[in-house]
Amino acid sequence: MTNNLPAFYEKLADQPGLVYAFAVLLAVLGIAATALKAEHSVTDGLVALLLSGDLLYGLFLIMLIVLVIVGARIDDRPGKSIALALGVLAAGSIVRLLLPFARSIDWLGEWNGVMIGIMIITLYLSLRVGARFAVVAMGCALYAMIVTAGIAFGLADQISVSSILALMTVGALAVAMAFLGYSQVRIQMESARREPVGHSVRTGMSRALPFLLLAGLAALLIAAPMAVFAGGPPRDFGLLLLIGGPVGALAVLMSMVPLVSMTQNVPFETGSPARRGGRRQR
Amino acid sequence: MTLLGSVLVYPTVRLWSSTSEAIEKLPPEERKTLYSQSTVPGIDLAGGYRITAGVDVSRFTDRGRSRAVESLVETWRRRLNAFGISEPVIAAREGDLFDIVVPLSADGGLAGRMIRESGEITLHLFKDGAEVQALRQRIDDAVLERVSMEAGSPVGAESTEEAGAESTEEAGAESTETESAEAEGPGGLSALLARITVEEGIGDIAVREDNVEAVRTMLADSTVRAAIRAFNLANPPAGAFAWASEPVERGGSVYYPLYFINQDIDLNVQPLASAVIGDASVTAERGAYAVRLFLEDEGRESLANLSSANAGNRLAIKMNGQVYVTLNIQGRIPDGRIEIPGGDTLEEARALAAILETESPPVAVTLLDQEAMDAPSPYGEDVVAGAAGPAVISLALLGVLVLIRYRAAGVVFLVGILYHLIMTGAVLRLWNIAGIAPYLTLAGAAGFLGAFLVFTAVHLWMFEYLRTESGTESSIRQGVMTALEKCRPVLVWVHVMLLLVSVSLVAIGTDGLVNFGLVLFSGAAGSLLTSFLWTNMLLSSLVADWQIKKLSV
Repeated sequence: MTNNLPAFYEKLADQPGLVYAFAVLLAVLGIAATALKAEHSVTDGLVALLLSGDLLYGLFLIMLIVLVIVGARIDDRPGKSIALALGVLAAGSIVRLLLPFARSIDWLGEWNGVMIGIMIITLYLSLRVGARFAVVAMGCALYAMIVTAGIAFGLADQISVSSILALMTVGALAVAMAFLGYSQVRIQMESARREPVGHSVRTGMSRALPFLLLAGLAALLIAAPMAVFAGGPPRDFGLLLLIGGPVGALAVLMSMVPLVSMTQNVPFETGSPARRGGRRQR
Repeated sequence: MTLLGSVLVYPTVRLWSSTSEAIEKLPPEERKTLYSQSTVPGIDLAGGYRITAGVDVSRFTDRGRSRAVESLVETWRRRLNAFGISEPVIAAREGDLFDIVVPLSADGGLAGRMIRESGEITLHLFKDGAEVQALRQRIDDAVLERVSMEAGSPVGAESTEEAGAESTEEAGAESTETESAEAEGPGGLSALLARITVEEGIGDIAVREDNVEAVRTMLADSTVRAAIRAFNLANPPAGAFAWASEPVERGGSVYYPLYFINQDIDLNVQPLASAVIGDASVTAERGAYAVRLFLEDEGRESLANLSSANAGNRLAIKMNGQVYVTLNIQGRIPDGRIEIPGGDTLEEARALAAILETESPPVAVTLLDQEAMDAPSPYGEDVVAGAAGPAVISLALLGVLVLIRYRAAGVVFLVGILYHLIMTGAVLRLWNIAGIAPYLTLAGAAGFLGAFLVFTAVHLWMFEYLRTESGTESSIRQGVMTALEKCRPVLVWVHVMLLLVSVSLVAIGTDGLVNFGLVLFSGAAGSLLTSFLWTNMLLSSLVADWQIKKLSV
């Protein structure tokens, strides 16, 4: 880890085209790997899980939890995040209650569409209430899962429930890495209150760089022996984490670019004096 | 806390470190306790017990057959799930055979019972005692007539009458003990019957153990069946013989009670509102536990009417073609509640409740392999053993990375891995104590891997933060203490996020998703405990109490 690396990383924030191109290239690689495979074998258990609606609703709930925690801790929007999450949860729960009806009239596709629509609306509303870091953290997890699934399922013989759960593990790891990385940004924001948030994002992410590289490397080292030496499902787990760990770390690192562009001229907002323990803000 | 965690995780460590041969050698009670106290590897990791069941669907059309089989498999799955076997593997084989694989910790006998029994439970009124005597006489006459025709010499009706009368008289004289009602005629039914006294001085017909086969053969005989049919036509409603499900012991001999009850169902108990397990009261003689059946509104009303109209009569509760228990109707039963014996163990009662709450379609099921046998893992042999080697290499590589980066301080991290495993196992045990027994299935393994990766990421973040911040303060002690202070809220919230995610998956999911959530929760809780009770505390002690000059992060 040389001293040049953080400097190089900070410079990347000024070259969004390069970062976005790399991100798209990685995503295309994943999509191509899946598309080149003639057919995918899916287990009955996975079909049942998809048809039950539990997976999509579970992902929706996870999304709301990330919104509340990251929105409260990093974006400093606890009230708005919680209010938005509760409102959207009510809407999502009503849609979930309609699942048996949708299934009975063979409208499962439409039901999935409505649920995904609610998730997209949630992302938009999260941006509107200022929960930028929460949205980007969710984006990192989604990106890591899509790329990992693309590459791994292109190589795997069969997609099962355990493969999907391993993919969720990749998503959870990406969210955890994003939260920890953004915590550095938050610490930076609080120590440099006069600077715009964009500056704190650059400095904070630069400080988080060694951690994210190490975390990606650690995930790779943990997964590689399983992917190489184990057989059966542990090999599939190993393969998914071998790809997903580093891709998740890369996604969080690349997320600096959209965060900088979103917060470039945004001033650091402090909470009310009462919430800050009564200290007068100058 | 560490000691408590070690105590809680001990059974799991013992189970996972023992070979299958060593576990088989344990006394059954000890083995059962070990399984109930530890986190058991699931079927997809370690295999399980296989039960092979054959189903008779020959009377169904093609379409009806597939529906019946689908419904039957669903019933098996629901019963096994209700019993706590969360991941049975049910696979169809050719020739209407099914392989049902249950985890190693499951009771093979009770699982087989849940597969085999239909769960249909019906109430039948007893036929009048005088009618039973008349029928018995008619059967004796029919048997003797046939025997005499086969032998070619007529037998007088007189002798039969005498024999019957003698039998009845003798049986009537006996009130507390059992006695065989020997008949003079060759091969008569009465010759094979005895009378036993049950509670409240009620006498029941019974058959001594060594005569059971002869009576079964006789009742299946076409002549006897014709006699019963003729009797039923003359004395409606039609009656039928039914055996008791349990034999009784009197005077050192074993007897099988034989009841003559209404052939048609007087009341179908199902669908049930609920089946509740409790201590036996009315049925205390038949085991410590009872299952109380609560009928739905319609059934409750029907039972009230039936009991009100037949006070003083007896009611047979029939299950699986046998009379499970009899009931003396003392008056109107208004609450729609029936108690049936649940057996001597809680497990038996739970199995019975699971059977009764999920009635299976009318398909005859027979277990082909009565003995539970080892089944190979459907995912390949020794998944756990196959993954153990690569897991050790993974940990070794992680150890090398950590030691290179943090040198001596990395040891804190590496020992923390062991602490994390202990705490994760302890939290899994707490789930077990709470009545939720998570198997470590592939889904659970994915959850554990996720929690372990987050644990690693959290520690790397903490060490990197210490590395950055410790040099900014004037003393190592102040630097480390300040950095750890700043770390704490971040550590708490990242774990809270993971705990909330896992709880939501447990709350909304089924099967694999629940297992994933449970193990992820345990791993995240283990990681949180390790971060605070081990890493944070040890690093604080190193700089505050032991006053080390330099922390090698």
